[in-house]
Amino acid sequence: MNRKQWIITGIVATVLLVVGIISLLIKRSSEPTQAVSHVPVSELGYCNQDQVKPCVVSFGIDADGNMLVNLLLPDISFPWFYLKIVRGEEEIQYKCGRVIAVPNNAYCIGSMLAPGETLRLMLLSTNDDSLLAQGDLPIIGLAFPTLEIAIPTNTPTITPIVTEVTPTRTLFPTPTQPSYPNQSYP
Amino acid sequence: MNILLDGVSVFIDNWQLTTGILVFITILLFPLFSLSRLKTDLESAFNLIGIFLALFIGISLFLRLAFVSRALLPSYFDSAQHYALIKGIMANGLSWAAEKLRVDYYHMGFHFTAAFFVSIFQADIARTMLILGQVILAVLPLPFFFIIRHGTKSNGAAFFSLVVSSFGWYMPAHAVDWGKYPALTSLWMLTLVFNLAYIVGQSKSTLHPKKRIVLFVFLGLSILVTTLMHSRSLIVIGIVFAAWMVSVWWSALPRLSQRLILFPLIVAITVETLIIQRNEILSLLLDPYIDKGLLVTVLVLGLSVFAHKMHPQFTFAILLTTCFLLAAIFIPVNGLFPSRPYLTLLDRPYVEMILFMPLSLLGGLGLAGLEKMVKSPYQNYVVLMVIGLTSVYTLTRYEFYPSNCCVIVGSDDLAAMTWMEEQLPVNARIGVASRELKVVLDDVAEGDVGADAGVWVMPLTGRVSILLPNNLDFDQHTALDVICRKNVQYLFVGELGQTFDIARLTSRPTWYRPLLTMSGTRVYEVTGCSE
Repeated sequence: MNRKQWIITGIVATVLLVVGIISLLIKRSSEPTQAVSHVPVSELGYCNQDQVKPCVVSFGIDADGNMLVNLLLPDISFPWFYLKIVRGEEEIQYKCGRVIAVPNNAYCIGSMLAPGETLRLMLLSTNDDSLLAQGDLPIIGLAFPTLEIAIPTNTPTITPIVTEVTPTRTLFPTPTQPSYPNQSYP
Repeated sequence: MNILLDGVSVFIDNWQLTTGILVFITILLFPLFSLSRLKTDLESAFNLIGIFLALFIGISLFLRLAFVSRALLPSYFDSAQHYALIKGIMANGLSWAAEKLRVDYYHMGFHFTAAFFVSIFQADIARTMLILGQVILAVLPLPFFFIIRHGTKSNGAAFFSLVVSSFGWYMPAHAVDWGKYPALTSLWMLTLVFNLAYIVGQSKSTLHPKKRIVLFVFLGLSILVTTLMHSRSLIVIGIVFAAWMVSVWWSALPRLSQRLILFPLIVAITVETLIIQRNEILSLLLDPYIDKGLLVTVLVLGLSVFAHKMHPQFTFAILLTTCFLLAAIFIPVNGLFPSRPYLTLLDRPYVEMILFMPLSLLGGLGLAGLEKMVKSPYQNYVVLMVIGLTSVYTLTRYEFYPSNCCVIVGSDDLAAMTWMEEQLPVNARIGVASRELKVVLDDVAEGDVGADAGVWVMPLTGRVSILLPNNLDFDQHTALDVICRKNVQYLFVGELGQTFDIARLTSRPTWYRPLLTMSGTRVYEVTGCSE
């Protein structure tokens, strides 16, 4: 190829790259920025393909009757926070921490609540109690084992309703690469 | 476009780490240019070619980084072991690593390199592994450009080689889905070694003896570092060296003798291909090149005719290398490592990863040969069209995100492991799912490997993990006996991968008590041993 052809090809590629980066920067600048002190309140919901974060990945329970809330955060700069669940007049606080090895993930632990009921979930900064995110969502996907197994005898009795609910979330889209489950290296 | 945006977003979030790794690994290229005539070759068109190369690598890097945007942790079971070794080096220093190197050699060169980046950039180990892998994938095709540019003097052929080695097949990129980070790093080093060796060979009469000595020293050091990155790369270097030596002898033969040797070589490669295709375990080796990448392979093989016409020795060396590489997976080297009783000279995944190299070179040589053979006023446009169509075809079919074949860690798994770290005793022994490793001929199992996120329990929580077969019949007394004999106190059931059978565990509530129940992940306490 001659010099002219290279120049044209180079210019086209440069323009494409520059347009891509600028469009991303514009997109990012239009999104709310995360600052420790003045973080705009985000809508809190279940994680889906749109990846609006923070979002709730799932709920879980432990043998001590605690409920775990698994969350996905926008990035590692997201402020330290705790979770408050409002149920009618009652407000219940949940202690939260980052998940090991993946600081974009966090989980909160606290009292168990009955699944199915729509509750208000609020993420509040541990620094100044400012509201970081909130949303009204039902607790789904709580996989209760049988009562006598899950709940030790010394814990208060609860009334589990759902045996197993599969949430409709799709955190990551399914890639098109085929899997070969019978091979050690697919 | 979304892929590019995801990649740019990852770059912006990790620009220091990404740039640092990029600078560090591409700096290895500069001695090549300063010591070789490549520099003068490039000087005449430095502005244009250099800008275009930089653009290509830049775009490729952003596309590759999209992988990181959807990866919680590096994929598959190998990654957990790499993570643990890097963490060990970070925590215990060189003496621990030296002892590990003596007792259980495991490609420590890669782990030292990763630990270096983690330490310099104060970055997370998992993120460093992920970004390192993608940066290597982005720059890996660069040496193909240089070697073809130098060997053929054709920019078009060099760019074609660059494109097919980048996106022609899903290998070597799929290696990150397997967590084969040391092997991937060794591929980068191998391409540098081959470039350097080529320059040494080509510069006999043109380079000052002192400069050649420096080149030889640099080549020796590169081979040493490459071997440290992945021990099997030494075998590949040996194979390529042997093939090149034979090709030198072959090229001096009369034309008829050359053909009498070339024909059986092509037959041998065909027979090897057929044997591999008929073996259940080995047949996957050709999947990237025959199944998914058939069109590109056919294009390259078609061009190889022109490669042979115009660059016969180079082409012969490439074919012989391919023949040797395929043969190496059949040659047993048993008894070398007590922990790995069944070994072959090269394993299937490694050869699968590496086959794109001879094919990319063949493609570049072939296009250069075609350029020289077919003289036409539209030649340049045809070359540009071949490159353009190949780029569009490969890029539109390319998978830049983690493959679901190999993602074994889910978000619930990580939350569960964090809970385990806080709730379970530090001396807890946790049973995790495993399965047999089968990568060699005849379906022989090489050992047991992690089958779900349980393989990350030890690296992330520091608790002892005990491998148990993922198909263990937990409701049977024999299974409980095994568990009790191994003093397994807890069981981890992952969200993804090939996990334990939850139905069997829940059917024995007196043997296994659920401690944590997430939508995808479970942790049980083994209570049946005290009965």
